[in-house]
Amino acid sequence: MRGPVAWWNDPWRPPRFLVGITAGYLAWSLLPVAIAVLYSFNNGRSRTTWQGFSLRWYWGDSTLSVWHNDALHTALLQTLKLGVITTLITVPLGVLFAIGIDRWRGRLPEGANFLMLLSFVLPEVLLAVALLFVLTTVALPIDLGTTAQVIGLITFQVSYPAVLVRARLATIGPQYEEAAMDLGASPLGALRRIILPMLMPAIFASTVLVFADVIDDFVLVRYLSGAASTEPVSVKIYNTARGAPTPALNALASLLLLAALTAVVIGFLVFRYLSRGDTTTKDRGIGAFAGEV
Amino acid sequence: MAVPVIAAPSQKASPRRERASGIWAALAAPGIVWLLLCFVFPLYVVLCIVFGQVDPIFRTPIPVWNPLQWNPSQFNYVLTHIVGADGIFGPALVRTAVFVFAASSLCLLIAFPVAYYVARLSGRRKGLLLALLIAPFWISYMMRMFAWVNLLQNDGIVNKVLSFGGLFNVNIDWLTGQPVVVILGLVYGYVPYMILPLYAGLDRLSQPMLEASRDLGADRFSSFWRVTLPLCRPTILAAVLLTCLPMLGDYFTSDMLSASPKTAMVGNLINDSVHAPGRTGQAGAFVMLVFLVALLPMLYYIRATSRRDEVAS
Amino acid sequence: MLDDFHTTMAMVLLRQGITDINTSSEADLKMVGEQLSAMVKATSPKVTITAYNDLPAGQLGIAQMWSGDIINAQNYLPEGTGPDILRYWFPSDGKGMVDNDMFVTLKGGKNPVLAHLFINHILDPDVAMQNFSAIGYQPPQNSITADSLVNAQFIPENLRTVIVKPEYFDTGYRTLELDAANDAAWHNVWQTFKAGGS
Repeated sequence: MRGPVAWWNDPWRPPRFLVGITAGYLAWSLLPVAIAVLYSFNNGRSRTTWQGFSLRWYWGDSTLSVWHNDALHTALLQTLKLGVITTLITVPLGVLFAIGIDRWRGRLPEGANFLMLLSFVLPEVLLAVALLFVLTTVALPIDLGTTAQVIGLITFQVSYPAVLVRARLATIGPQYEEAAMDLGASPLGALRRIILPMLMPAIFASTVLVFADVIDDFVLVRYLSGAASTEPVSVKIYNTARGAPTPALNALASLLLLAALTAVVIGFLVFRYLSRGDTTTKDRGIGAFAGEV
Repeated sequence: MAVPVIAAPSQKASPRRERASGIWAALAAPGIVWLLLCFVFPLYVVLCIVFGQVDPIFRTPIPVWNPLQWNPSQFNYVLTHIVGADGIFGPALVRTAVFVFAASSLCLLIAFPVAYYVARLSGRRKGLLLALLIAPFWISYMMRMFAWVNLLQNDGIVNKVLSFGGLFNVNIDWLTGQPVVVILGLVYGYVPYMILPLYAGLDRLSQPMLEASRDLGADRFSSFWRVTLPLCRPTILAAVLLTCLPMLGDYFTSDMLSASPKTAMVGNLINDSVHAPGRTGQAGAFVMLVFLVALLPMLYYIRATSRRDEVAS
Repeated sequence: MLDDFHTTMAMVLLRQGITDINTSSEADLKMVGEQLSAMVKATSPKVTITAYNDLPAGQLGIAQMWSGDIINAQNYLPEGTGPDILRYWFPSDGKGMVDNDMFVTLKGGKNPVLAHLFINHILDPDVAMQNFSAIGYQPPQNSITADSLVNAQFIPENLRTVIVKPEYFDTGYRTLELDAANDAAWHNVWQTFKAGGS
């Protein structure tokens, strides 16, 4: 490691102001969250004045801590429930959709592709309000609540694995499948035995990313929630932030951050393991994991 | 959410694959059916409610399913109340446009240098920096906004820093109807969504082309302006769309950071009227308006990029 | 300001001396709309229902609140701050806005006796005080007066004005349910206000 003076005088170093902007951006982006996590360990009720370190808001306080507060429990459970159910349905749906659209030629798949991209960029509130209208005016056996939230989340998230898998398919190219079919496999067999294993990293990556996205979702779950027991953590934070926030809220959000982070780290490690022989993703590290190929 | 890059599939299709197209249709069918049922149909229901009736006693919306019987009065109400003497919605719509434009521009100004640095110039630290850039996606948006509410309170850290520890008396209420705070809140929330597509696109810029421009005598700035920027125009367009369009529906940033009518956006208009008796049709009308405003750039983008060999999406 | 259309708009009417706070007069409603815009321009208020938390926390200096809110606010004071910093104003002649919630036994209900016993239970003075402490809204017990509460140290002396007296319901103005057309007219004004327009 060279000293700072040598770094400053190095003619090959990147422009100072770019480094400065990047460092500044990272600090601006992550510091408020770091402070929020820090205050979840605050000893007192305040979220702005440091009053000492304690774990009171995690399990110490007998009524208000996350461990003891039933309302926060329910929120946490609801979040995890939504995350798991949505991911389990969204990923297979999106993967099959992507494979089908990729190979199928014609106007219909182009239209479906457009529809899928549209669902990717539309503001969430439009979908939320539309689904709310459907559930309140059309006589369906589904009520507002967890089922409705899952349906909305799947619709909103299905484009995610679809896009990731399509990107991966484009990189893989047709040669492996054609080789398999030359050797006598049926198209479905080639798909099952050649393509799907090669898609595993992308599938796994999209699983983890969909999960992380769903547990943070706010607009859809709020509009489609039924009773207070179907409100996940993000809605609780929103409601309580406008009411009476204690550091227990910071603790809850920190726990959720930990859950998302754990999911992503595990996913990344599995991704690395699954693609250890794969030359196309070898040098890309986290970038490949997030979908850039 | 991270945004990937799609390379368009190779144009030569083997005849063997064409024959089996029934299989691919079958694979795609569940997804297509789901999108039709849960995406297209709800949008149709919105239309039916906007052009439908209102129950006179309970003031709940009654959808009218037959397009021939549609009643445009609720939609007309919204349209006629946008500009003019009765223009009660106009200011909110204009404000939304201004906020989104300002926030997107700021996002671009911040995201582009950061993405450029991380994609091309960061060398060994690329992986770590990328991880730090992706980190905000896994932190709840609510929590990030909540963190700022904390900092911007009257006795929060921002005021403490600004008053230099008590030297000046800073009497600013950051959290009450300050458009600047809402714009900065939007920037803070959405800039990660812009950085990743920019990173992906800038990563694939061909280094030889940039080096060629420097070899031919252009200085750093000129080379950037005349070679790099035009090359990444599709990337910038995609990134801006990906950030701008979701921002149109944002209402909770204004709610959490301001809670004042002075910063009401179209999302707040929708949110306030969805559950209000007799106004659900108006909420639907706003949904339609935002949908149209979001649809046109998307159509243009799809048309513009489908002609290219490489699609950055 | 309270994020409640009827309460806030009625307050504007009372300020202008109009005592029919369920009015359907177009001119009155127009005036309310103009006054609300003027207020936004003059003071840039927050429009929330969370004043019971923000006021004691020092984020708000002055707020329009229901009486129950300020009783609740005592619980949200930061550590080390006593309730003597809180104040509540209500017209001393009782000519202000009054409102109440109701317990109702349904005529076609399945358990009328149980409902009746439940209401009796809530009306028991000790239970009523527990309820009061939990939600802040005053139960209708005659035994609950400002004196009894100050003596029991339930509220400090400076919050005496919070306690609702039975006379207020005779002299005060009730917010009543508005008919459909009037409700729509009121909501129009409120929506204009909330949209930050005109």
